[in-house]
Amino acid sequence: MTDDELMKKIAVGNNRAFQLLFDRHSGKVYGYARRLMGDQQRAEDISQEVWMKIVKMAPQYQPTAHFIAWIFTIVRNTSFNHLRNLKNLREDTSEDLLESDFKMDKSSVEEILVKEDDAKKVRQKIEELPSNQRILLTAWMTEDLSYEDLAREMDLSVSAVKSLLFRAKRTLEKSLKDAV
Amino acid sequence: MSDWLKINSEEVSREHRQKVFDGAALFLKENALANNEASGRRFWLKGLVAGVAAAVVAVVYVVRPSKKEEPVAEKTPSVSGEDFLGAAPLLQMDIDLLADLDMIEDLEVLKNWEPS
Repeated sequence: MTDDELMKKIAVGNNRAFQLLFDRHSGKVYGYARRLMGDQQRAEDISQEVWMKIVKMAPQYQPTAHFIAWIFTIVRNTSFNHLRNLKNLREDTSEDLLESDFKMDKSSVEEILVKEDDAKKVRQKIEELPSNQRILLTAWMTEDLSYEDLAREMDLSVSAVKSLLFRAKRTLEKSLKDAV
Repeated sequence: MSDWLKINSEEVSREHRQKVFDGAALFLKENALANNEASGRRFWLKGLVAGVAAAVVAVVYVVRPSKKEEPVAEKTPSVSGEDFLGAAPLLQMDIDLLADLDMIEDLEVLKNWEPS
C-alpha cells in the first residue's frame, strides 16, 4: 500500500494505517529531528508533534510524488518553531557577517565529512554545534533549500544565513581536526 | 541527500513508538466521536429544516388557496332580484320564439308564466 493510500485511510480514522505509515517513516522523521535538535529528548518531542500533525492534516492531504520530502518539511518547520521559541536561532547572527562574502557550497562541506570515516563521530560533532548553526547546516544539507529559503523559513537575513553556515562549516572542520 | 545523512534513519525507542501511537489513537477516536456528533446534529438540523419547509409548503399551497376561494366566489356575477325581473321580457321573447318553432309543448303554462 502506498503512502498516499495510507494517508487516505488515516483521514477516515484508520488507526492501523497510521501504524503502518509510522513504522515506514518513523526512523527518518526521528533521525532528521535528532540532527536538527541535537539531542534525543527534543528529537522525540519533535517526532511526536510531527506525527500528530500528519494525523491532523490527513483529511486535507494532497497526494505528492515526494512524500518523504513533505514529511521533512513538517519536521523542519516544527523544529524551527521550537528553536524560535527557545530563542536560540537569532543568537550570534550579527558577528562574522563579513564572512558571508565567502562562497560556500554543499560539496565543500561534504568534503570535510567524507574525510571522516567514523559517522558516529561526525554526528557527535554536528550535535555539538550551536543550535542555530546545527539546524541551518542540517536543513541545508538534507533538503534542497537555498539560502533565501532558509532565510525566509527562519526569519533571518540571507547574509545571516550565509554567516551561520560558514561558521558551522568552520567549527565542524576544526573540531574534526582536533579530534584526530 | 548527502551520504553523511544516511544515518538519519534511526531506530525509534519502543516507548516513543507507543507514545506516538497512543496520541494518534486518542486523536482519531475523539475525531470520530466529534464527526459522529456533528453528523447527528446535521441529521436533526436537516429534519428541522425539512419540517419547516413542509410547513411553509403547506401554508403556501394548501391553506392560502382555500382562503382565496372567497374572492374567487365574489368574482362570479351575482343575479339580484331586480336583474331577474329585468330579464323577464327577454325570457318571454325566448318562449315566444320557441313556441313558433314548436319546440315547447306546454305553451300555455309558459306563456302565462309571470315572474313573481
